[in-house]
Amino acid sequence: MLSKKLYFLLFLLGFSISLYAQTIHIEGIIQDKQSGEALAEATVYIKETGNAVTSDQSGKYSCRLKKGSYTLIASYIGYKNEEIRIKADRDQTVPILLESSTELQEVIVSAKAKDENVSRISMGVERLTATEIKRIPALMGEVDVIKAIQLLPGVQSASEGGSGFSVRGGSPDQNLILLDNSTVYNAAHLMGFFSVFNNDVLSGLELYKGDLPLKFGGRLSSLLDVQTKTDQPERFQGTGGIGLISSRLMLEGPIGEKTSWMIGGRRSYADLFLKLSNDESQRDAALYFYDVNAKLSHRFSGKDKVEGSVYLGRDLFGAQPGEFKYSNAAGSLSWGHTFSDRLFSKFSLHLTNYDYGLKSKLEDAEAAWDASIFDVMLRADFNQPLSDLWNLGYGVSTIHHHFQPGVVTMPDYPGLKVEGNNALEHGIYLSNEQKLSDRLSLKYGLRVSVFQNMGKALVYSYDNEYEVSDSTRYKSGEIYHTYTGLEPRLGFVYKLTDYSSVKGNYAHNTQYMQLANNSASGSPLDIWFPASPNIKPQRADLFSLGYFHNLKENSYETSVEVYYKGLKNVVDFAEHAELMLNDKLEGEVRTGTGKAYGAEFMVKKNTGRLTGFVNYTLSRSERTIPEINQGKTYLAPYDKTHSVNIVANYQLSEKVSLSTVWVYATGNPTSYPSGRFEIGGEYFPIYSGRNEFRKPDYHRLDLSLTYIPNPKSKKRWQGEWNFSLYNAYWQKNPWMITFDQDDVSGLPHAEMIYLFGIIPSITYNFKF
Amino acid sequence: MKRKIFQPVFYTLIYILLTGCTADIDIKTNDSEPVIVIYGLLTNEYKKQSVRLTRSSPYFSQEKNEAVSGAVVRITSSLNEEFNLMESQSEKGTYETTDSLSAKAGITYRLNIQVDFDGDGIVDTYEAETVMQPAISLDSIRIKPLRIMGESYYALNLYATDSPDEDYYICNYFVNDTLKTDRISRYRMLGDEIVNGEYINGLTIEYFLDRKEAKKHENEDNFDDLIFVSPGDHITIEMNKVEKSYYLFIIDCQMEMKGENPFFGGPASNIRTNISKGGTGFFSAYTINRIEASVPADETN
Repeated sequence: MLSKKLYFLLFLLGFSISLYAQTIHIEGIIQDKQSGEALAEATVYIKETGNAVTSDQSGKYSCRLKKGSYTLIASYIGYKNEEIRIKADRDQTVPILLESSTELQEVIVSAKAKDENVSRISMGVERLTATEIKRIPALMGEVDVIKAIQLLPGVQSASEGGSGFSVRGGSPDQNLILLDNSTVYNAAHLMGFFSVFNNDVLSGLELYKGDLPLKFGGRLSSLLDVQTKTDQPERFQGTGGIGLISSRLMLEGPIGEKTSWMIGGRRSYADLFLKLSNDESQRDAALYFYDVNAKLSHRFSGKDKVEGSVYLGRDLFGAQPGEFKYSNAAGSLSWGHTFSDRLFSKFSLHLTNYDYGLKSKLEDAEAAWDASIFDVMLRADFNQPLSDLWNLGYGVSTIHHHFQPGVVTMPDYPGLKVEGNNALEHGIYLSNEQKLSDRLSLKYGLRVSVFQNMGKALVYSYDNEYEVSDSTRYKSGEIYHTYTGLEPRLGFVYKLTDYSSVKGNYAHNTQYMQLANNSASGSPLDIWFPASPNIKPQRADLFSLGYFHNLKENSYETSVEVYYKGLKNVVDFAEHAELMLNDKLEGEVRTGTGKAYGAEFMVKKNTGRLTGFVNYTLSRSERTIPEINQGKTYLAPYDKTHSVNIVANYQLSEKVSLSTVWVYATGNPTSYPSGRFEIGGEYFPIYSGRNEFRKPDYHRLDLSLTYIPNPKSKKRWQGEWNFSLYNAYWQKNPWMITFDQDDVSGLPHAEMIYLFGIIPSITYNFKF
Repeated sequence: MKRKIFQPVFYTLIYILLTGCTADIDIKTNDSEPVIVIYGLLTNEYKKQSVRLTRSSPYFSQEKNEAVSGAVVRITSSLNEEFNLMESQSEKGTYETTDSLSAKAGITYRLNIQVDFDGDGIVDTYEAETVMQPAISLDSIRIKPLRIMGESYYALNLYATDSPDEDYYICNYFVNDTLKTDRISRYRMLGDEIVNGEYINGLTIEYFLDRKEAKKHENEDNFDDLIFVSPGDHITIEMNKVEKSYYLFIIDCQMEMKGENPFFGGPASNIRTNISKGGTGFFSAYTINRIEASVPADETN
């Protein structure tokens, strides 16, 4: 504690400074929030004094102010205004990040324009910040990005506790999941119970429910755009946590004025507890996942910024008989360059790999099974904000996909190899945003996509019975089939008042690759396979219309959106399809049409002690495929008629905050047997159709409490405790319905398997 | 076989990962119209060959499935033989050849059944066809003790020449002359995708638990499905080559009998059949191959 004398001295000193130093120096760099490009000649207006300054070529601005509180309003053409409250009590650096009005990449919630819900042209976009995600009670205390988005309107979890999600009735493989713009093919750890994203290294995420930005394509249903931290730290700092499942640590810091770095990691340690097990068989088991994120960025000048980002995550389950592992790797290198104050660019290289391997290590039965998908992507994106009428975005991208569907090797035996194949996927796009009046804005554009199958490959032809009729072998590098897609997308926003608007939207999306997955939750063994001469690309037309209204000075956001989605060439699989290690996989594919429609209602409260949202979704999703269900229309596996999510956070005091989540959804469609036959005392099912029934409705309450022991502590180290209860009222939600024969009568009866009772957890989080 | 070899890995994983809880649940389903269920297997074993006819029932019916009586059941062969099967007096719905006979490899057998199944006064005809599968040559089997995850097992290693064709096998095990794989859910299924055309030089095709481990497993759901052996036990293995369609029928039965699996397997689907006109079940023929061995003393402990 400081002596009273010293306080007095400081007080005097402060007083004297305010009397005699008169002005305080404020400076900083104005940058594009997404790319980091410095913005030259941006304006900073000081509301209280009415003065303004402009930034120089390196984006730097500076001003002198009398001691006091001020509001800085930074503006730049093609960007949204940014308001920052500062307390000018000492010289300080105030960096300003501006957000392009075409590339609306929201990073920090406080930086977002307050009326964005109403004014932004895009619709069907949901965003969550890392802070919001952290507040949501989590399964086993493991903060999870994907579990968080499953609470958003129009998003359904594909299975209890799983990482698969369905957006507006689409299948989980119709979601494009990007981490710093690199594709993530399997976003799940531990068979899906946790996601691959470590919340500590993220700034936030955006989910586009169908109306993808023209920059992106290749999936029908959604884009989940996950971004790692972009803000430049002023000093070395870190965050971390110790939980029941895993521990985390993220460190970041600057190197000089122009370079910053970040590294974060997580590892689970369930296997360490297994070592304490009485069961000898479990003691030797390895069971863990880990992931590492790293990022390095360097600003060469005001005009150039280079950034490298790497993700590596792996799951391993091993025991004496063998092991099973799978891993995701993604890396990117990007260069942002400002040609002029009207032309910005970004060039980037992305690599992504997903692979899995199973190994049997038993004597006389040693075998290994491996599969992978590997992508290399190059892209160039330009943004040219010329005027209210011409705010152009354009660019090109190209991806080389390499698919290795599966190889089984066994010493001394021929093994089994499903031949690999290659494809190129190109995209070129042009978009424009127009502000026609204060009320009406438009955006429109076209994306042209091209998909080319490339040798080396062995391609089978199939007859009407899906039996192989012929086969053709193509040389390495030979392009043997090309599809093109025109993908127009357009939208408007019409502001009815300052607080309300109507938005409309149309998008056409094309998807050239899909997951061979037939089960409800999917497994890490599912493989991706491309469109080909036998498999046409899947296409979707999406129409949506919405009314957006903010209340009480934007502190409440409300919206109603309705959508209709028509699907063509939608993929499902034949009955009893063999999807793994099958070189004639294409013969198992059945295609048809689908449609999905629904209405989404959302109320969100952003300010005050109580924050959170309530949403309700009414929807339907169905498929019609000639060879499935005797050609009759059936419900998509993710169809849930009603869905309600309530997320509430309440700041009880500076030390204590409470959070709660309640979810309710109509049970998933499923098939129950209508009849049975008997052979040798065993009963076997007879089905009358696909997905005619539903599982019982799903509902669950989660609670959490966060306790900060010393919220006012000036120490660098700040800790907090998080206590949570998953499934607080112990609802037995069926994960799986199975049939078994009664021990006495021998007759069949139904049983359900539920995964979770009440699950308490405790986590300690810290930052320094 | 291609995935089977990884089964110990899968099961270990699932065991470690999933300790889900089970509860009974009442579900409502439709009651479908009954269909005829025909199940008949012909083998080279010299005996009265039989076919069983029953009626399907609503899934949750509390009655046992009824036999179908009064049918005219006939089997003809590509050797122009004709066998009439008569309904057994002791077991309704089971139709037997009047004399003992053994079916012959390579011969096509056709089943023809005439019965007024739906009671509309019109005779319904159901048919099925099978080609009797030949014997295969097995050199020997060897039983070898080993420890897996701290437990004593015996591996069954096979020595045989695989033919260059796609082959499908159903294996049955007798321990001291008692059939352990006595129902469809316990049949052991093997394909030859990974070893096709090669000499199979001691590949493990089955693991038996040592009987001294039995106590540990008593409370497991599938206890009755486990096969336990002790040193000195006499093991007989039946490795029968079957038609692909029959192999798939058994695989379907095994996969579908418990309903959907959220991780593996697809949406619930009807079991494939070779019975015509909306009937279900199967009619097939195969040659029985047997080979024997003794369980050695376990010296791994």
